[in-house]
Amino acid sequence: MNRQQKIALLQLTIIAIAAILSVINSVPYMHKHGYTFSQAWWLGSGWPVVFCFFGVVLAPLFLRKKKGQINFDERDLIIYRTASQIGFGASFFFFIAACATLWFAVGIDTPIPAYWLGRFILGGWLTAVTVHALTTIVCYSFGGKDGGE
Amino acid sequence: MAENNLSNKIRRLRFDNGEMTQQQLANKVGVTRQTIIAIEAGKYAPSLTLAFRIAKAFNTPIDQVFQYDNSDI
Repeated sequence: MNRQQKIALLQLTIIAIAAILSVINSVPYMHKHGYTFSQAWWLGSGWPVVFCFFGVVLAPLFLRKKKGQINFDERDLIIYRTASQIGFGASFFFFIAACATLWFAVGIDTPIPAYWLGRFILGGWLTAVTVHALTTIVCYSFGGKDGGE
Repeated sequence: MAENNLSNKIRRLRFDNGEMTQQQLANKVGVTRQTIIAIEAGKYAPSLTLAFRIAKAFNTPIDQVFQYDNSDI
């Protein structure tokens, strides 16, 4: 397993841990304080999301490059580009889906709180990172297409 | 993944060249060992530059290393 795969796996693990922590953290807000699911999730996912953000961003620093060894070549670049494109596409799809869902859920003329935009950005970023990591792992398993540009 | 009509004799050539390891070949042509494994297994078709570098590593013409199945052309 190379460095890119290890980074992808670490990022997926961090995201999964953050998601589980968010759920565990949100439950008391719903049952003890009577918040709705959406409010409880927003309150409960606070520090796990911060943990997730820094974990995902700093993951490459934990897995340093081996000195005197080739760590990245043309195949890695192709896989990285493919993963980036699919990740970006998925985040774009997330934004469309989020906007469309809001359109139908709250109506066309209903204003929404500004902090929802933060949720959108965070959700889009998380979608991009998750799909990027998954695509990286899948592409390495299946070879990584053709070289040559 | 892309359809791959490319076959190769890298494994054979490695053994003919003093039982060269995948890591030694990877170091010689400037790629990771995983890439050599993927090329040998036919999972990855290398760029033209890399194909030439691999052929040069064996001091062999490129068509002795890589063969293209052009039956569908």
